[in-house]
Amino acid sequence: MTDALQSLEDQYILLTNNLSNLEAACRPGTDDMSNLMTQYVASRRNYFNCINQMFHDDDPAVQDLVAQMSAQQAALKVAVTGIGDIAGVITAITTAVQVGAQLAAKV
Amino acid sequence: MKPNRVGRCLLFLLCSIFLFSCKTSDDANAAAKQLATTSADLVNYYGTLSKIAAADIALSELQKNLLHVPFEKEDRTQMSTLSSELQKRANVAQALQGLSTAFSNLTGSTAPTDVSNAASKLGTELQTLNALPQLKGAPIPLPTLIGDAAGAIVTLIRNHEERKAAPAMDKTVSALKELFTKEEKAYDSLNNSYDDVAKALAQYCIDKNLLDETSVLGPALQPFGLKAHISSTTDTTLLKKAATTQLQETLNSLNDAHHSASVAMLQGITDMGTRIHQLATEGHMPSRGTPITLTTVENWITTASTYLSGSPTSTGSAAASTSSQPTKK
Repeated sequence: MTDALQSLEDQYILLTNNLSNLEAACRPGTDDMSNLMTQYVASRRNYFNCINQMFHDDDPAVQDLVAQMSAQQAALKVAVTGIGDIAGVITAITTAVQVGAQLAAKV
Repeated sequence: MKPNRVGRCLLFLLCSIFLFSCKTSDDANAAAKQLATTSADLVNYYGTLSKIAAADIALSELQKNLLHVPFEKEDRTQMSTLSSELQKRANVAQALQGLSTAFSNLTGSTAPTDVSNAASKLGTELQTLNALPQLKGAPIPLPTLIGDAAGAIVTLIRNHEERKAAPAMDKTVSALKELFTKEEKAYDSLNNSYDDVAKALAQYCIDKNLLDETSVLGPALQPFGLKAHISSTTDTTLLKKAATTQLQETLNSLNDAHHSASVAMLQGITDMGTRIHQLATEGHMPSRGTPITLTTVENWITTASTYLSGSPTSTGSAAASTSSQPTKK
């Protein structure tokens, strides 16, 4: 599977699998839930945008972004599965999804 | 040569639609029939993938209702577009199936019209095809290559140059193989992500007591005609654990089944390409029976049809189970 598509799929599915727990951890009366949903939807759009328009992996810029996503995916996995500070988790998600958006835009 | 023998030879030549030897006409007929069967499975393969893309919309609606995940018109359009593009590929395969079938039935005065009409339809379907992957740097847009090859077939048939149609079909199948090869990873990803999202929602249902966990007891109770019963005091912890395990095992099985199917479909297209190439370059094709790898494709289609509404059912199983060994003379 192309690295780029795999990266975006991995991020989308990681967030999907942990979405219920992340929701439960959102603090009432804050923007946690709204921010979480915004990033989840962005991750889903990034993935489907990519799968609609696949692209070569041999683009050096793409390779760099894939490497960034790979590094962030590891950290993201730790953050979403061991939810402590939900605000910090949402920040980590936001950063990772932004990289995903850059990758999905390489079409 | 005696006049009656000359007459018989001339009559034979006039009756030979392909202007081949009798053996070569049989090979061309066999190749066309095999391609028709392979195309039929390709129709169902793409049709099932299209249904999966459409089912992603249903899953997203569930996420919206159960988990409050926004699902806007933009998102629905994104998934609908994907489903439509896959259906277009199914339509291309169906047109190729129609052309192959009409070609294999090329006998009698009316058959050339049927083949011409089928070839025209293939050309029309290909014109509506947008590339699913927009391949940067690709020297030749794949749908254009397929369209050019199909257009050549139409022209050749209309000009009664059927003998040259095999090389043109060779190019068409080669281009189809290249398209599938480029997009295969996207097909796997689409199937896997659908299975993963469905599993996540199913797990949510388990966690929120939204499903009947006694279904996991089926293998033990069904042979004896027994039914499970849960009272208000029953501890369902172990049943939920069993259901969760079943989810993961089934997910792995579904993902593996599609990957095997996509590999087998590509192999089936490759096998047909090899046979038609042999026919086009050497003038003969001894293999009879469709590629046996198609059985794997049909099994996946059948399984997927059990959980996708309105899924196509496999129609090529009989042909696919036929041995692909060359016939003995």
